[in-house]
Amino acid sequence: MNDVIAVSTETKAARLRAIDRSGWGTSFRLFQPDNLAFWVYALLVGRGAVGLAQDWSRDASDHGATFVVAVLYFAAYSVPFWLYIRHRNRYGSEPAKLRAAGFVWGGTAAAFGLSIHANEALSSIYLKTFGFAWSTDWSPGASAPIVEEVAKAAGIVLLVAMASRLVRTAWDGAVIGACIGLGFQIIENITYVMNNASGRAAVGSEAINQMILRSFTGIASHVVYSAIMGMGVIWLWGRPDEPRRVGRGLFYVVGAVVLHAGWNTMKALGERSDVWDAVAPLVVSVASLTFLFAGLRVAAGREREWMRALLEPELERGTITSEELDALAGPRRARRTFAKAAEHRRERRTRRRVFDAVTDLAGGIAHARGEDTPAVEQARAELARVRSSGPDTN
Amino acid sequence: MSASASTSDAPAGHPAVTPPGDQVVIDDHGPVERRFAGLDRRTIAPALFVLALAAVMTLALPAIDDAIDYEVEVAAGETIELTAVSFEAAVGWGRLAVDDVAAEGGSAVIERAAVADSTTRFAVTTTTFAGTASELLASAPQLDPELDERRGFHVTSQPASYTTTDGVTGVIERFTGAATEGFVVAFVDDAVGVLVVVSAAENQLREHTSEINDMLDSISFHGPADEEQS
Repeated sequence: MNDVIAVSTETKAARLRAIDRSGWGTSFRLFQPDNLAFWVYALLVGRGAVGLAQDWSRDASDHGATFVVAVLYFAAYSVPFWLYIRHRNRYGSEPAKLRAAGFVWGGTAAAFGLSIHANEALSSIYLKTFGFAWSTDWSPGASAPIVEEVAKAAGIVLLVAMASRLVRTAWDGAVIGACIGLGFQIIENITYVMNNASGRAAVGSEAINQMILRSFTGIASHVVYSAIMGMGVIWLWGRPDEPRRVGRGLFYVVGAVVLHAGWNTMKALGERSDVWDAVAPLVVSVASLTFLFAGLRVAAGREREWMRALLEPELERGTITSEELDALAGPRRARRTFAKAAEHRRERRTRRRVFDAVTDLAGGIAHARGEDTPAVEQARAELARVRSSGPDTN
Repeated sequence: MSASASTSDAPAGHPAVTPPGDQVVIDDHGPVERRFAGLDRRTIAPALFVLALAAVMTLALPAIDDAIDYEVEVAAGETIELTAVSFEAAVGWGRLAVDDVAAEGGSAVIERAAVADSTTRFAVTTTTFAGTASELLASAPQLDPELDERRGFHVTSQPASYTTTDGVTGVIERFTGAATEGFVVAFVDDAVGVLVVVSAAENQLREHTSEINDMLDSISFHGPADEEQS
C-alpha cells in the first residue's frame, strides 16, 4: 500500500548505491576455503588457542577456584564493553560474527600465538644489550606496545581480507580493532590475575587485588589502542571508499603504539617525577580517549553520508522527519540536540525510542536492499507506533 | 535495483549479493580469472604479509635472542657460591655484575650474587644478622636497591612462612616496584641473614616459575646450622 507514495528514482538509486558501497546488511561467513587469509587466521588462532589451553589447564588444576572466579568475573566485565562497541557500531556494518572473529583473534592469536613469544624474546634482547636496570625500567614500554599492537593489527589485516565488502571505512576498522582489543584485554586480565595466584609467591589475596586493579586499568587500554590502530590500518591501506592516506594512517598506527608505551612506562617515569606519578594514569587515559574520539569523528563522515542516502527515501515518503534524519546521519551533537529538544522527560524518552526505531528501520532497509519487505514494513509500523505513543502514554 | 549491483572490489562475473529482499551473503568464491591454485588472488598478499609478521615475531626474534649471549652465562650444573650460602642458577641465565659491598659502618659484610633472564632477576644477598627472619625482611630495602621505596617498592601481601628443601624456614612477602613485581624471602641461619629477591616486569614472573622454584629449592646453607639440619 505504500507503493502509492512517490519516492524519486534518484533517491532510490542513491539508497542502493549506499547499501552497495557500505556493505550494510551483508553477512559474514567465517569459513572461506578459497581465501588464504582465512587459513592464516585459522593457523594462528589455532596456535594461540593451544597456548591458551595449556596455560588455562595449568591454572585450572593449580588454582581452580581463583581461575573460575577470574574467568566469570572478566566475562561479565566484558559485557559493557561489548554493548558499547555494538552501540557505536550503529551503522550496522559489522555483524556479530565478524566482531566475534575479532574478539577470538585478540584473545588467542594476538595474545598467545604471537605476543607472548615476541615479548619474551625482545625483553631478553634488551636485557643482554642494555643491562638489567635499563631493561627493567624500559623494556615494558619498548617491547609490549610494539609487539602487541602489531599482533592485533595483523588480525585487522586478515579480517579486512576476509570481509572486504564489510570493512569499508576507518570507522569499520575502529569497530574491528576494538573487538580484537577487547579479546586481548580479557585474556590478559585473566592471565595477570592467575600470575598472582601462581608459584611459590602465591601469598595473600593478590589475585583479588589484581582483579580489581585490572578492572580499572583496562578501561582505556587495549580496546582503545586497537580501535585507534584499526583506523590507522584502514587509512594506511586504503579501501574503495576510504582513499589511502599514508600520513594520517601512520599517525594513528604510531599513535596507538605510543599511547600504549606511555601507559607501560608510567611507573618508570613516575619514579623520576612525583608529579607525573600522580597524574600519569589520568593523563594517558584522557589522551588515549581523546585520540580515539578525534579519529572516530573523522572516520564517521562517509558512514553518515551513506546513512543519509539510505534514509532519504523515507523522508520523501514521510516515514521520518528531517530532524530525525539529521539526528541519525549527523554528528553526536545532532543526536544530543534531537534528544534534548523535548521539554518533558517523557517526551525525551519517546524521542530516544524514535531514534532507536529509525536505527532499526535503517538496518532493516539495508538487509532488504531497499525493498519494501514485510520486515521493513514492520519496522515502519513500529516507528509509527513509538511516535504515536507520544509523551502522555506510558 | 539489480542484484548484480556490486561494490568495486566485488568479484567480477559473480553476483556480489543475493537478490533484493533476501539476506545478503558474501560470495566467498573469487572470480575464476583472479584465482591462483584455487585461492582468491586478492587475499594472498595480506595473508602472506601477516604470515611474514608472524614469522618475525615467533621465529626471527627468538633466533636473534638465542644468537646474543649474556656476558657471563650460567653453565649446566653451575653452582653459585657465596660465603654462607650457595644455589644452582638456571642454565642459560646471565650472571649480573654485582660487586661485593660493605655496608655503612663496616660491621656487616654484604655479599650478593644475581642472575637474570629477560626481565626476571633472581638475587641472593647475605649479611651478618642477629635478628629474626621477620626483622631481616623489614630491613630488606636497605639490603637490595631493587626494594628501594624511591623505585616504587611496596609490599602487597601479608608475610607468610617459607621452608626450603634444606629445612630452613624463612618469611616470604610479595611486592610491586616501579615497573616490576616479585617477592622477597628472608632467612636467618646461624647469625647470617639471607635475602632472596625475585623481581620481574609485570606478567613476566610466571614465565619463569619453574626455574625460580628450582633455584629456591637449590639454596643450600653452609655452617653449623646446616649441619644441625642434616
